[in-house]
Amino acid sequence: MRSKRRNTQSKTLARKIEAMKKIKQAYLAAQEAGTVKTYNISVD
Amino acid sequence: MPKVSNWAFTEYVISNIHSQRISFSVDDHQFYMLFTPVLESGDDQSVLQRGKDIGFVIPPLSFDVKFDRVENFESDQYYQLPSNNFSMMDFSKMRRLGVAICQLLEFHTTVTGAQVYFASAASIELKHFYDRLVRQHAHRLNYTIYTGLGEEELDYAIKTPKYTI
Repeated sequence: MRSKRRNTQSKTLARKIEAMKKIKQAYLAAQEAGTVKTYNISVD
Repeated sequence: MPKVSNWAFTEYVISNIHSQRISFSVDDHQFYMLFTPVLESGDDQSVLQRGKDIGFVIPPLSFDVKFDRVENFESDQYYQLPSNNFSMMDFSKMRRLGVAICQLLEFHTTVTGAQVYFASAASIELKHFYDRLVRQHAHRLNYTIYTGLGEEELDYAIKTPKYTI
C-alpha cells in the first residue's frame, strides 16, 4: 500500500515542476523579446 | 563560513511581469534561484485563496521563489539529483549552500524591496534542510517564517523586514 506521505509529496513536486516549466517559458519568451538584463555581482 | 562572493543577477520582463534569476555556484555545483511576482502572475481568485491559506493578505512585492540546479533547468529535468559527474554534496558544501541561499535571498530583498516570499520543498529531505536554515538564520535576518504550510506541509511563507501590514 502506498503511503499517504509519498502521494502528497508527489503532488507538491508535480506542482513545482509545472511552475518551473512556466518560468522557463517566460524566460525564453523574454529572451526572444530582448528584455533580459544580467548583472555580474562581486563582493569582497 | 565563507559566503558567495560573486553571482549573476538577471532581470527579465514578459507580459509586463518583472521576474528575476540569480545564478551562483558552490564549487562545481551551479544553481538558480528564480523569483516570480505573485500578484502580477496570478488571477485575483487564486491570490485571494493563497492569502486565506496563509492567514494574511498577500502584499505587493511578494515573490514565489524556486531553487534548482542549473543543468536541471536547462534540460527541463527539474529537481533531479546531481549525476555522478559532480563532486559529492557533502555536509560542508550543504552548509555553504544554505549560507548562499540566505545571503542571496537577503540580496534580492535589498534590490527589490520584497515583502514576502513563498517557497516549497521538493522533498522531505529538502524540507529538513530548509527547516535547519530557518532555525539557523531567520532571527539574524529578521525574517518571520511560516513553515509546514499547505496540504502536504511542505510550503513556507517568509515575511521580510520590508513587510508592512
